[in-house]
Amino acid sequence: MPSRSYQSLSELSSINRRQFLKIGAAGSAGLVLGNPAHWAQAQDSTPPKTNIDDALSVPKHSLSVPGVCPGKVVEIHSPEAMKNGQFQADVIAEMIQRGITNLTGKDMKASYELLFKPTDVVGIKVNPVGPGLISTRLEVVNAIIDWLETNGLPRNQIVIWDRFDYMLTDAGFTPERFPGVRIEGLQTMDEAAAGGETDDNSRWLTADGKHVSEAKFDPDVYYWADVEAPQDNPYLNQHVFNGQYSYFGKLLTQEITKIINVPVFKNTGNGISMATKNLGYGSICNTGRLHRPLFFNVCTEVIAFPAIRDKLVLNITDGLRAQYDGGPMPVANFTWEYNRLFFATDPFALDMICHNLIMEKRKEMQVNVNEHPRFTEYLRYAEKLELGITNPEKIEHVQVS
Amino acid sequence: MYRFHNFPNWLMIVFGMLMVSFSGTARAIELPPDNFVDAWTRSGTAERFAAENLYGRIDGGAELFLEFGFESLTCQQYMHGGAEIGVEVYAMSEPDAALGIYLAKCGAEKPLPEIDVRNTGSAYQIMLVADVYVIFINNFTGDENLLPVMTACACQLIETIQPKSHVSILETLPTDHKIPGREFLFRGPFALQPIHTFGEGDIFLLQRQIFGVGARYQEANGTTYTLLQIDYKTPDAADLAFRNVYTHLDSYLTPLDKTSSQLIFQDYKQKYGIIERSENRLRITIHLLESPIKMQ
Repeated sequence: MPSRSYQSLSELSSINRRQFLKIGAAGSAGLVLGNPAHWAQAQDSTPPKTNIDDALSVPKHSLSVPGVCPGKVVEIHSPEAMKNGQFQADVIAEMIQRGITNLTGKDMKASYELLFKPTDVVGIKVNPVGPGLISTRLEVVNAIIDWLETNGLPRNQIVIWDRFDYMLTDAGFTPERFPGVRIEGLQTMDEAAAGGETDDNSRWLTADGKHVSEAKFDPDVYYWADVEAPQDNPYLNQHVFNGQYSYFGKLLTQEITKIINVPVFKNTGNGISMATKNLGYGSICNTGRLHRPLFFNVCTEVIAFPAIRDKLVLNITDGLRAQYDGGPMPVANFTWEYNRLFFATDPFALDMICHNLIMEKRKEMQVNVNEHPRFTEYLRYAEKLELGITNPEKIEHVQVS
Repeated sequence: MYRFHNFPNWLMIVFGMLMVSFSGTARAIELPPDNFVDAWTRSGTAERFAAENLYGRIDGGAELFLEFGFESLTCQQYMHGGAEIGVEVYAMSEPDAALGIYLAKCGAEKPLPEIDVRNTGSAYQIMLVADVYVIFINNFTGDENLLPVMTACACQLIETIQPKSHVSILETLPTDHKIPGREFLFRGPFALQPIHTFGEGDIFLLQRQIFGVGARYQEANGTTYTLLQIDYKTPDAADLAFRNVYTHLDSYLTPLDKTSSQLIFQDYKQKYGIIERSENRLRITIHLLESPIKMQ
């Protein structure tokens, strides 16, 4: 069991996630955090112990996941979102408006007031893997920022974040593109060292053997699992720590007060890498060790912690361009213009709907589909923890064209 | 500190030849030289990855290659003006292994007629298989204007592969009702993942040595099913694998009937499956709408 006790949100706060990759090999390859092949397979038959009970012992509040619209998913389809090979910002902004208002049943101002207060620091969690191809569209983030700003939230109270700083830059999330908005990676990583291109570790390792990003993670807020991590430099470079603790970033535990989660619509093996994975594996460090033994359960358990559960108020899955196979790495041959955005306060209902939709697409495209229940077990687990509604018959799926 | 210009010219030439020519097992392949088409030139030197550092290049994707039998990966970028394409040549241990990787990754094929080996392609990527090689030619911009360059690159690569072995492993599958393009190979649990979950780990005891083949089939009435077939070296090995499957059958599969050479089960989608052992062969039929018990 962990030697340190979990501390509630009021005392602390945390960071974020990411799988990272370099577009490259095998048309699907790239350097990815952890091991998605293991991911795509299965968790151990007897999962290791975790500190999930610490998370569940903290009382929820009215906005806590599954939020103000449990079990409701709004799908907005606009064939005009892509025109002449370019995504249309005005169409996307209109899709955002229709999505939010259909979700809450209120206008944009009232929706804002339902989810935010003037003192909030709002973190927009993006997915920058596969820049330009299958990463969170900049136009979507723009429209979200416009909504927040129009309703009175200053730009300096908005943070676009992800786990890796350089991936944000690669995907176009720069101060120049988003002036006045803070752009924050939870950690850095030396790509050259991680890729085995150099033995020089000085760019990420301090003289006393610590990762340069260590201070950016909160030692008092963590996901503990009885799983050891590899004790080597490549792992430490990618994951910052290599013990049994996966710390949340201080950005999440100490600065951000609300989260808007903006994943992209894509698969990971037989499962999906969308709303819950974007936060589950993106909000903590030292995740590589968790893939094999805990599989998708990490997505559920990490979101159960107050640092996420009590701050996540809205999820918008970017399905403007989507990917049905080869994920989580970007593979152009398996992408298509889906021209859809999905909205929910309940990330688990959202992922269940999107899982079923991507399975249908895989069948349509004659990709082999393994629909074993293990690939959605984590969603039903979330329902048991009262974090969401995942029985498709109980989910209200609103489709707007 | 050593710099390249400190080396004699002849040594640089030898070094250059080593960088652009390599052999997967016995057969050699050469990367296209500078100006292989118009003014396209190499950008940087070729990078080569052996099995032990494949994770550094395709962490998360390496297992499938290693499971099928990976020898080496060579990567080379080519540039012209501001445009760029990338070539990745995977040398596998044998032609069956190369075909296994190709089938696992190609999706619904859209062959380019200019390329005279099995291939699929778009402006983003051409993927082809020839002898022990699986080759990807990538264009991350998707610019259609680069497709002729990518095609020319593919054709040049193929020319250097001599001889090209005939791969017959798929010919062991029954041909009646087989859906074209829906074949697959497997040599361990990673390749089986997208097909079906029979149990944990190397449930069929393939040990990265034995190939299994499979395909989707469609009857005249429209019903579909999936057939897998594994030929072991001996009947005893097949029997051992059969007993291993039964002993460690996935908990979501419900055994309905079992004999010493046959197991019938129902899966989580209320579909049926049957595993039959005959001599040294395991024949596995899954995704059946009707119970094989009724059919017998």
